[in-house]
Amino acid sequence: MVIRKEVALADIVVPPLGEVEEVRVVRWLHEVGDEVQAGEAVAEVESQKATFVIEAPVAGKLFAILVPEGRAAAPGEVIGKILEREGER
Amino acid sequence: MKPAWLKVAVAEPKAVEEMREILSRHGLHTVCQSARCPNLPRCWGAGTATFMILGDVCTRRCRFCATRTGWPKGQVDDGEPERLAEAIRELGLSYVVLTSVDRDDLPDGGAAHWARCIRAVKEAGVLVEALIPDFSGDRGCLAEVLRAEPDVVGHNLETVRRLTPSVRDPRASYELSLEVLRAIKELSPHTITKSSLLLGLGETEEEVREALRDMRKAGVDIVVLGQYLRPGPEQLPVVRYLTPEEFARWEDEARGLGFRVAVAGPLVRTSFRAAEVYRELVCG
Repeated sequence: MVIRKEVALADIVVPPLGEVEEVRVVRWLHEVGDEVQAGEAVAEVESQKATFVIEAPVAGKLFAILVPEGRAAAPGEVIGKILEREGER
Repeated sequence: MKPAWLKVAVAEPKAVEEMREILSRHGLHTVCQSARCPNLPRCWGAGTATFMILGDVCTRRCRFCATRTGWPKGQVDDGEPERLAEAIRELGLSYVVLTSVDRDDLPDGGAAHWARCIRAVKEAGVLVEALIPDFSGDRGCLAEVLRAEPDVVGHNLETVRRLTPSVRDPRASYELSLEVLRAIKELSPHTITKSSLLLGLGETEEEVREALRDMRKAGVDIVVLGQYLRPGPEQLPVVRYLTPEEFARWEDEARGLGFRVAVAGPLVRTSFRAAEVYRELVCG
């Protein structure tokens, strides 16, 4: 018998920033595999005017970094994934 | 990398999206969007915005500003005052900052529309701060706006005397802006006035002092000093990022010059925390 364990991946998204069309990912504050808490700062992105701190939407393990440091991203874009901690849903 | 003090926490995206939906449903513009303001997530997340009336196309081309420029050929959205009041009711705001693009294409610079918007919002029982253009110094236009009884009237000096020609549109001037501020006080001595400077454009400390003294002489009650932040590659580059400590020193110095309220900080803008500043002044 195969027991399937359900896992959930949560998106780390560049939030809406008004008219800002593009930001640059300047820093990932964790490495893949690190435990993060919900609301903890995980990445920093920069517009022409300021740096925005992006928080983890859920608690879990940083599963993937989809947009590495130095690369551009758009508001709404998924830049990373978190493997949700069991029982957090 | 930006200086560490220009770091902004982003708010709940849902609240920002809700604000966008309300603004777009009522066909309204905000300076938060056109200026690509870094405070947008925080302000919108808290359910407040600075509304920009008379469209989103400015007839002037200031080199620090990202607002679209053009010549709207006298077009005015007559339904805007009512929609503005409706949106403000829906958002449940008790204090609102209105600003506008410059409208040199209109014979009155948009003064009549300004007055209609202020009245519509005041009828909704909301306090209004009007951050107005210079109306080319026309006292009749200023009087028309003042008759609508905004609670605070702001007009920004933006930068020091020497840098004004290279920073602002040629139709704006340092002296004209001071004259506008003086005229507001002459026409309506009880109206609270406000003005602001963007720092980091290459001004010297002595030039900032001169500008503060000039604003004070023009009767300005509230002064705001913030960091100039380049909205995009088409605008002037930042010459220097001032530290939060330097801003704190300017705030102290401005208070010492006799302003009733002085607010300074890297991310401080004319409309930032405007309701709290007003209440601090009125309630003490």
